[in-house]
Amino acid sequence: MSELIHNFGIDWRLLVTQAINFFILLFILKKFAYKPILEMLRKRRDGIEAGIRMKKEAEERLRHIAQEREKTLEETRKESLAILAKTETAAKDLRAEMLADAAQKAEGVLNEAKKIIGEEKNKMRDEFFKDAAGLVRLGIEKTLNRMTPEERDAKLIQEALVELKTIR
Amino acid sequence: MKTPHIQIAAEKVFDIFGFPITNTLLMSWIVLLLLSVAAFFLFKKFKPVPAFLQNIWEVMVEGFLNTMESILGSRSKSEKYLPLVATIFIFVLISNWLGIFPGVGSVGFYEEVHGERLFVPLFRSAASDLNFTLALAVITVVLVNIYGARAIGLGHHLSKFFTFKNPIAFGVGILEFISEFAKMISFSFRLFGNVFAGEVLLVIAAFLAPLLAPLPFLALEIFVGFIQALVFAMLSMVFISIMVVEHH
Repeated sequence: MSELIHNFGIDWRLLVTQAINFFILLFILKKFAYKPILEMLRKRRDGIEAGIRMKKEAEERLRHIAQEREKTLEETRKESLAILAKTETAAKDLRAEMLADAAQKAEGVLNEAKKIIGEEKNKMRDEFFKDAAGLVRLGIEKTLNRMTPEERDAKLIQEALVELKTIR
Repeated sequence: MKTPHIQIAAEKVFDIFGFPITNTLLMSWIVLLLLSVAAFFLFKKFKPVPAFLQNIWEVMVEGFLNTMESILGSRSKSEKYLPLVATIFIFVLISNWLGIFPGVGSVGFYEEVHGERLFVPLFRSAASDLNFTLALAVITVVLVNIYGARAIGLGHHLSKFFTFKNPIAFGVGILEFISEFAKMISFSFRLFGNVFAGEVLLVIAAFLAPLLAPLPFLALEIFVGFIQALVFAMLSMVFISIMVVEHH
């Protein structure tokens, strides 16, 4: 066994030195080569993932905004149509109301005119009767040619007036 | 013509206070230095948008992580065990490739040993020394067991080897325990054997026909160096994947 070890040149000091060499290399590579690159790769992957996620979110938001816009536009269109329709109805109502009002006013004016005409007519008739009383007395006085007391005349006139009224 | 001298053990170049410095140890220090300097200066600052070198490194790390993910089953586990597996791969790969560099194995000096004049190369592929491969194998198996104990708890982990549920499970457990040592042996000798054989092959090819003949073998060694590094890393990956899950 010892000859075998001797032939292969196995020396525990060399063995330990080689082991130390390996550990030094492991330490240095770990510190300067593996750790930073692994961190870098991880960071980059995270960055890419975050980017993709953000892109998706942005797309989603854009789609949402477009939908919102479309919805708002549609609502506005509907609202404006409704307002138009309402205005039209209101205008129609107003027109009808104004027409009705005008008709009423016209009727009022007509009535007023009729009333005034009626009053004028009455007034004229009263005046006519007033004038007629003198005329009738004069007529009767002239035609009868016989002068009777004033009271009888008045009575006769009164009767004649009554008669005249019944004729009317 | 003098036949080339082939020695299994690494040659001692010099010693410091009785501590032997072999050519393979020198080589592994060079690899360590090269990789440390590269890691320190090339990757001083990682940027979100990668430059040329960072890009290459990222592709390598991603490739490793993807392979590990297919074996370990999750990204977080892969990231956790990446340092060990990737360091094994890189260390072994660069050692193997530097081992077939021009000058390595051919630059050296002559030394008198037992009256015989022997050529001692200044550098030699680190993995052609059993000390290097054995050290790596022991570290790997020990760390894999530590990872296992950390992942599922020491009690659960030890119950994989020592269980008294029934005689068969007990026997299997003991075999499992022995196989941990067998892993160290197989790990170390596989790598050592391949790299050493490659070196010998190149020496023989260069000795028999120095011109052009070694070229295909050099290409083969570049490939073998890569494959052996990959095999070592892959096997440790598989052992980790076995150790960090509960035994059924």
